[in-house]
Amino acid sequence: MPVGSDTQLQGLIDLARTGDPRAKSLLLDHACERLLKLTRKMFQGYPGLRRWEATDDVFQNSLVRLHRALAEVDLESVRHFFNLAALQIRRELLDLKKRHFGPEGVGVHHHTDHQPADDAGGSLSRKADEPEDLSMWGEFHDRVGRLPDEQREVVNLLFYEGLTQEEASAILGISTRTLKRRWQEAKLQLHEELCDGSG
Amino acid sequence: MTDRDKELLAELLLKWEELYQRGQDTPATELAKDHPDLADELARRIKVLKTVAWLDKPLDDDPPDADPPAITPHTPRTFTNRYRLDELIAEGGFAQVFRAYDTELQRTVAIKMPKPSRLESKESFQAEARRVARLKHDNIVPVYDVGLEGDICFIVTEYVEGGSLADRLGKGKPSRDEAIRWTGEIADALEYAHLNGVIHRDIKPGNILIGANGRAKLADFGIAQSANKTGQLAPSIGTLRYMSPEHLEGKPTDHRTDIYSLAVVLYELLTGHIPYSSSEPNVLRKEIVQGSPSSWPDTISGGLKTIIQRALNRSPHQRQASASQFAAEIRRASPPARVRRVTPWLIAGLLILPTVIVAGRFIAGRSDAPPAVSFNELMAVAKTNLLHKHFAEAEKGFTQALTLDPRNADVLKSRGFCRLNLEMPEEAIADLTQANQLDLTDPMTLKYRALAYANLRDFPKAINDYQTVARMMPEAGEIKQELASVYAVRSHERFENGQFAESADDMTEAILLAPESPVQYHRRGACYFHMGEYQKAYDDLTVAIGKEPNKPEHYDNRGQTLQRLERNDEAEADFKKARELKRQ
Repeated sequence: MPVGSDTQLQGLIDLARTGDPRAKSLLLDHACERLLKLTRKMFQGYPGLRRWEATDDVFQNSLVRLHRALAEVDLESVRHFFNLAALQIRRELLDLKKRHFGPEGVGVHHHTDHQPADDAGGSLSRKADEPEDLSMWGEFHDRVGRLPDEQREVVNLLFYEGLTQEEASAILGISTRTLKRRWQEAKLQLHEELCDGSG
Repeated sequence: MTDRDKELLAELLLKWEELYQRGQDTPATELAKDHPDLADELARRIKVLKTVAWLDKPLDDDPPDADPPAITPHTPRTFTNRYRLDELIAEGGFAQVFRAYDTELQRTVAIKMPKPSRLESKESFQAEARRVARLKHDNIVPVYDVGLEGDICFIVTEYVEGGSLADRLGKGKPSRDEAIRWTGEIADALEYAHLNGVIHRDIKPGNILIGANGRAKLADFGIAQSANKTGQLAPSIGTLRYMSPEHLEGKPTDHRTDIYSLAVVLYELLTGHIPYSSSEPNVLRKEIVQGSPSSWPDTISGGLKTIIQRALNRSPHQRQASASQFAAEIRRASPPARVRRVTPWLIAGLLILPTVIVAGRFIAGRSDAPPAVSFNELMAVAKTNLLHKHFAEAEKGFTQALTLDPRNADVLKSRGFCRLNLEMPEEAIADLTQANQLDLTDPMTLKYRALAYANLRDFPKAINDYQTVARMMPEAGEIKQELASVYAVRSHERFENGQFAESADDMTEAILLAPESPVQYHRRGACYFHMGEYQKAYDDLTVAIGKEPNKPEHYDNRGQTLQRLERNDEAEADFKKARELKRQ
């Protein structure tokens, strides 16, 4: 029973707040769905790999690992769950990237029309536009993981979990204005990190 | 920069964003007119936020394909000075298809152009297309020509006017006879191709075209294989729906992958949906790999169910050995759907009564004029046809007999029975209603009418008739079974419509009438599961397991239920048991 829209997501958050036992499995479904969408986004520039990714066991394994990691967690709060899910999603996306472009990466010989495979390790510092290749996506996810807690939590909710700003601010217990500010700070910080390309 | 400056910048940036979201891109100088020393930094940050604006965009459910269209405004509209492109008629992830005109042979053709980025090798693509072009079969769309115009590969095929099976399904599911006929025709095409060493690997309704003569033809034969040297195809979600487990898992595939996909198509033609419960790729994938369709609607009769189940087996070795075997099996098991609940004794019963009556009339009127003899002859022929299930001929015979004796309840009942089997339920009901008015004592008339109502999905009337029959024949256990089936069918429809509580109520009625059937408990358990009543679901599925301990589906569903009850260890045990049973 995957969650298919923001309206349903709000309903799901409400359900979790009432302590309904169905909430956890639905939140888990939502996380799996977000993993799929984010994977598709990462692979958008790689039609061959995206196809491969959509069908191969690597994606399936990611999904299973995410499922297992989250299934073991007690649903202390929606906030806690979303943060944990975002962390796991980020790990899985980084893992997918590593599997493709690590030394044994199955996609190491794949490349887009414009991006030679041997460029996989570089090109980060070009710009902070939407990442164009898996290497840049990997760097992006890595940098998000290093953001200060407050900023990272906002990125978790808005980007990885796909919440609206209103939903995210309600979950964090802060005003929408504060949330917007943290979101801007996070984006500026990410841009700086990605463009500098330094560790 | 001081803390106060940082605070000011943050506020100005929020103000800029608010205005920007309302369509006003206010310059930094204007926003920072009271703090001109911050204008440059504000401008820089605005620029940065515009650069990372992609972070604010929602993720597409289905991102557009990264491929540029093969045909652009600069693409020549006539290929090789021969084919004039008239209209784009289909576009998928792999290719575009145009209706075109062959100016040389002066005929309409279809031209397919793979998207350049999907081709790893033009040469291998063309070689593959030429190989396919050698396939000549009535149920395969013929390839006329293969060519290259600049960088664009293209294939010229027959233009089939009737549209695809996917189009047909969009208008509703076809009749059972059509479903069997079309599937059989495609199986014939596959058998021929397999014998010629060609595997399709992308069997789906979109690749099956229905000609103006109503015959099915398979398109895109083997061509998609050339898209990728590795043999890994481009499974859009649509294709994934028909993909065999071994294909999905990237294992070696043989001709039996086509048999699997064709069985999925047949299931969809018979039921209106694929044998899996989800269209979500990650869920669908799991279901396919598990190799066990989630449900078997009553619209698929026992014989066909066994055949399709076999063809959908997770292991290719367990499937039919050839497409021709699959075709033969479905054709053998494909009497009209209405017959499926009619047991031989029903036909026998129908035959006895008219025989006695007609014989009596014949004897009584043997010295009369020829019409009595004529009636007898007509009835004898009609009964013989009925015995051999030649319902159309039998129906004609009974119609002729009725011209001689229009108020004969038995003949009306017999014709009603034929019409029921000829998928003419309204006409059957008219006959059977008239027969019942003439003879209120015959429960079989009402029984057939109940079947006709059930076929029309008029469940209240079907149930009413069956209940009357049950009162007339209290000892007839089969009537209870059939009434239970009607409740089960309605339960299934209600389930499909998301009316889980109503569906569960129907299944309760079915269980009361036929408590020995494990399927009913399984179904009601599924209803309770969707209603969130997991304990009840668990109880029902446990009963189903007790009655049918070797059915993996029961364990799978109970495992899911146990997960919802957070009894994860027990759930794991059930899943493990299901896996073991599937392996056996």
